[in-house]
Amino acid sequence: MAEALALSAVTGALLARREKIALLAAILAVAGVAWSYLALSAAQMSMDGAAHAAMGMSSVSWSATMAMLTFIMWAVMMVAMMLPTAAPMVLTYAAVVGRVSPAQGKRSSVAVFATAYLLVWFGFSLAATLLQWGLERAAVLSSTTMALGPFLGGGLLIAAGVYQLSPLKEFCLRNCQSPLIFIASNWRSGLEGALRMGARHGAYCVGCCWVLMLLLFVGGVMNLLWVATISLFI
Amino acid sequence: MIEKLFTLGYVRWLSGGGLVIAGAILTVYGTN
Repeated sequence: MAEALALSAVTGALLARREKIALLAAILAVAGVAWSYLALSAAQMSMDGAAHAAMGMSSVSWSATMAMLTFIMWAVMMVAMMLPTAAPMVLTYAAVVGRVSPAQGKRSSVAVFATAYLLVWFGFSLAATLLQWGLERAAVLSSTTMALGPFLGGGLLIAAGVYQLSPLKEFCLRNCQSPLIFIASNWRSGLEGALRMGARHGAYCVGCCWVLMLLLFVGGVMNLLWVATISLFI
Repeated sequence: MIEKLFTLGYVRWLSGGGLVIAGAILTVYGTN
């Protein structure tokens, strides 16, 4: 309770300007590396797709390496798309942890918080990889564009639209939109607390965005313009 | 970004409605 009261006092300039810039720069640098990896992968896949089409190959067989690379691609994509979105929450957490628990290492706490957040998204990446494998196996996902056909794609768009209006979406979004309220109502001290809070924020975020992320199967998983559009909206 | 920055409910309703309409158009006209 005392911690929550202390949190409520932290509403003004939360972080020193220099710290804020350094943290933001670190987040954007990691996201920038992720976007660069995606751009290179998209170019490589475009060349591979053209080669497969020229050879008359309609599908790519899934090996363990292929599955691993697909998972890495999804995981990197989640870092590129979601880390900048989480920046306000990470900045607020850094400010609060510095004030409420000064003895607690701020840098390690922030690193654990952000890592836990991303780990939840890596769990989603694993599920997306399995889904992609299933869709390719069922021959409903193009192996060159990695997009669904119009019927399934249209159905997915409708499902995403309905989910936008659902109470679950509203609940998750409410917990994502206000960093200070989330931190005040979910505060846990220590590194274990950082882990729990990061994971919880990640869970709310996945709850908000999982269907929107699946829309990547509509426009093409490695269609960077589509990826950028969805991440801008999210 | 847009969804998290704009806390007003109509952003959700507009995007939801837009997605449903886009999905319906793609399903009907894309398959014909």
